[in-house]
Amino acid sequence: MASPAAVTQPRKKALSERLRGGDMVAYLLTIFFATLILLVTVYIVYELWMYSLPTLKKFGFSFIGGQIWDPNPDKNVYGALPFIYGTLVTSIVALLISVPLGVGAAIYLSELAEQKLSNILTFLVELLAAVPSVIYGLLAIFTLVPLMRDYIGPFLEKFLGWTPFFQSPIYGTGYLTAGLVLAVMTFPFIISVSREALMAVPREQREAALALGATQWESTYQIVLPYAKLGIIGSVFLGLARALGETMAVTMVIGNDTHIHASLLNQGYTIAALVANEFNEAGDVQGPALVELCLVLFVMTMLINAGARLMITLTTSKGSARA
Amino acid sequence: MASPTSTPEATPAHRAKMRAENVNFFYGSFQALHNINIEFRENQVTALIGPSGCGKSTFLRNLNRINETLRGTRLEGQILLDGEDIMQEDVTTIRRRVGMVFQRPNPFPKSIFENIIYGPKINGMVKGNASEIVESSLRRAALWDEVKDKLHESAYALSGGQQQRLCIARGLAVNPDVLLLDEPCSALDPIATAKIEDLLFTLKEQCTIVIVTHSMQQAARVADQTGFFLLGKLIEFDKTDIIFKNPAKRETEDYITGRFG
Ligand SMILES: Nc1ncnc2c1ncn2[C@@H]1O[C@H](COP(=O)(O)OP(=O)(O)OP(=O)(O)O)[C@@H](O)[C@H]1O
Ligand SMILES: [Mg+2]
Repeated sequence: MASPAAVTQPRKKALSERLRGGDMVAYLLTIFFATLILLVTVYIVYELWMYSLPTLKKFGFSFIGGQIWDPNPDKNVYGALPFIYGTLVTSIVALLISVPLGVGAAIYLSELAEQKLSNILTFLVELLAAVPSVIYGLLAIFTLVPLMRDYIGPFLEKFLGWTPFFQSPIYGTGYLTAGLVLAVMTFPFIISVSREALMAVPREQREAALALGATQWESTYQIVLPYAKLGIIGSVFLGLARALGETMAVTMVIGNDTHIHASLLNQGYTIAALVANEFNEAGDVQGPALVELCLVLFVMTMLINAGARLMITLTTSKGSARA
Repeated sequence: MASPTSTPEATPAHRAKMRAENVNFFYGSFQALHNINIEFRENQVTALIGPSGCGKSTFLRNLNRINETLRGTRLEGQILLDGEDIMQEDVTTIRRRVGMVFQRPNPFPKSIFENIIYGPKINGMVKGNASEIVESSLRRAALWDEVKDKLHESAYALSGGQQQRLCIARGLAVNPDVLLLDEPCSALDPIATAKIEDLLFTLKEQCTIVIVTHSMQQAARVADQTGFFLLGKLIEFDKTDIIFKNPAKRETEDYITGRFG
């Protein structure tokens, strides 16, 4: 019988040998790229910060709360609120529409539709994600804007006009129109990511519920959906990120009005649209103000993402599907 | 001589609870079960053995109609529960009355408490007595003492063997008449396996048990009757003693003595 001492120790490998082994190379490469991503993020913040220093100093926090955006040389006042408001409102409208529809469609595709049909439909839906946003904008101008101006807007005003959210004037372009376009644009992300999440739920989970006497719907709604909730939340935030940053299509249909309006039928502006429209001809103060808006947008996206992470950690500490 | 459809003589105490008559089953055009005739007696454990792919799971999954959720499947013949054709009854009622425990533990990603109470809830059996249902179900599955202090923790925090007993408790919570177990111990170590086997002895006082197993020792230990499947056919079905000591069929003998294939 071999005594423990007789067992030969594996020889310590020289660095060159380990490098040749590949593990070390892979390790160094991956850590390099990981740090690179971090550095790029830090660099972006640094640059935005440096470029917006003039307005950061000039307006301080009143920039965020300011409601007036006036680049006239004799005024030169810049406030971010109308654009933060427009960005949030259009994104929320978009999600209110695209989340229920998208998740519903994903349930149909993963739980009800036959496999082949599901694959074909998913392929088509994913094609939608590849359509350039300027095309969505054009399409909306030709179809949605007149529809909104002549039918949907007046209809909403007639029945919901007593709320502050659906009042004249009705231009056709505006928050609601932009929100609808964004809904269509976020739809493919939500459908395809949610569908993946639902399809990843093990068959045994569904069968366990059915075997206890659950109906198909109970099994889907009470077992499958909660199991897939992380993935579904992920899809929503992917959609939200897309909606917050979308520039072209929104610029074409939101009306580009620098004032805040409560009515969704009225015109507004988003951060991305404003920067795209004005940056090229921006003056000495206006330029830094626009960059500071970008910084705000960046922070908003970061905060939302962090919030999402936090929510996921909090809601999954008990009974997590991926504990 | 025993024919494939022969059954051990009935004693009044063990009347037939469930019975399959001339069951054929198809996955698309592939016939997985050929003319199965078998019956399961009240308060008895019946084991189904046979080589991999012979149709044990397929047969078991027809007894609670879970196989009909797969596309393109077709069942011929009759399966009777207390003399009533299960295909004529409401499917959710059948599944409540015929519980199932799967090969791999599959608790829901919820707390232990919620796992147990889920079945009673959807079947409208909870009337302010949720805690009692949870406790009695866990006791029946011999899990209560191990989890009573962490009922509201994730079921995923339990060991594999505990998870499987949790799944048994979850199935028992809706008071099934029949409990189907498909290789419930195949993912468990010998100690966890022994616990579940012990459990079956007490559980059969309350319901009819059908267990699929790959372990002949397990069948010999727990089952009153044993059925031997081969290539989608029920070759022999008899008292466990007879199957293991004095089988009537050559194929059965080859299988239990390990001379198979
Ligand atoms: N969903 C399915 N679709 C098509 N054929 C299937 C399906 N499930 C099982 N089969 C086939 O039916 C036959 C019986 O399979 P089954 O799973 O019932 O065997 P088993 O006896 O339980 O085997 P094991 O001991 O490996 O679990 C096999 O030939 C298998 O390939
Ligand atoms: Mg099987």
